Amino acid sequence: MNHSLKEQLTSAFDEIRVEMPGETRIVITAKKDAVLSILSFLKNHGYSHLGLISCVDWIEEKAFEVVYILSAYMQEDEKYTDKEKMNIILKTKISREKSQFLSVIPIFENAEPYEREIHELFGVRFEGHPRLTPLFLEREYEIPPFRKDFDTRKYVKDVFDSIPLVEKEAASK
Amino acid sequence: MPEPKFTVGFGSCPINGGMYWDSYNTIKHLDKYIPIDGWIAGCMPRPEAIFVAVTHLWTLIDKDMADGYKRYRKNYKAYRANQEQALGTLKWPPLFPIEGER
Repeated sequence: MNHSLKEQLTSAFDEIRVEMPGETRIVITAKKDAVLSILSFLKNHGYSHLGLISCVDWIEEKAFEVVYILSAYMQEDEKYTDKEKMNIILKTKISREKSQFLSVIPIFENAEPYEREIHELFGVRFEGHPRLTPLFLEREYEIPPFRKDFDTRKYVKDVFDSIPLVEKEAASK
Repeated sequence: MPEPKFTVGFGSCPINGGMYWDSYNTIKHLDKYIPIDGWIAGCMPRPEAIFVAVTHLWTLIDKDMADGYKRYRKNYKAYRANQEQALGTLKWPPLFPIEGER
C-alpha cells in the first residue's frame, strides 16, 4: 500500500514531492494551496490522527515551514500490516513576512490548540481559527519568541537582569 | 501564612535560572522577589542535600539567623516593586503596609 499511496498522491496532486526516508515514514512536501486537500485525502485513506502541527523558521529563506504529522491507527483493519501503518509528515512553506495560513480545523478538529500555540510562538495567523487568543505565554513580546530573530539573551538582559537585588540595595543605603 | 516562616530555594533554577538562564519565559534569581533563607543547589538536588539543608535550617532557626520573613517585612516595598516589574500588575493587595520602609 505504501507505494500505491505514493503513486496515488503524485497522480492526484501537482507539484508534490513524496519521499520515504525510513521504513515507516513518508515525507510530503507540497505547495501551500494543496495542503487542505492533501490532508482530507490522507484522512480518507485512514490517516485520521493528526499528531502534531509544528513550525520551523527558515529565516534565510524568509519562510515558515508548517509541518503536519499524521499517523494511522488502522488497528481494526486486518488487511493492513504493521509496515503499512506509516507516519506521514506533510511540510509546506509559507511567506515569513505575511505569515498567514489556513486553519485545518474543518478537517482535524484537534488542530485548535496546535494552531493557537504556533500563532503565539511564531506569529502565524491561521485564517478561520475561532479563537487565536494567548495560550500560555505570561507577557507580551515584540517579536514572537520562537522566531529566529528574537534575541533571547538581549531580552533576558533587558527584562530580568535589570531587576535589582533587594538586599544589596538596602545594605548600601 | 503566619510568621515565623522560612523559604528555601530548591534546585538550580531559583538560584540563577539554572539551565533556563537565558530563557525568555523563566524568572531567574528568586531572591530578587522574596527573601530566601537557604539554597539547595543541584539539578536535581540529591536527597542527602535536602537532608543537610533541613537540618541546617533547623540550626539557623535555633540561632535566630533565618530571618527572611523579617527582611521581607523590612524591604517589602523593594520586593514588591521587583515582583511588579517581573509579573506586571499584581492581583493581590500588599501583604504589609508599603510605607513601612525604615
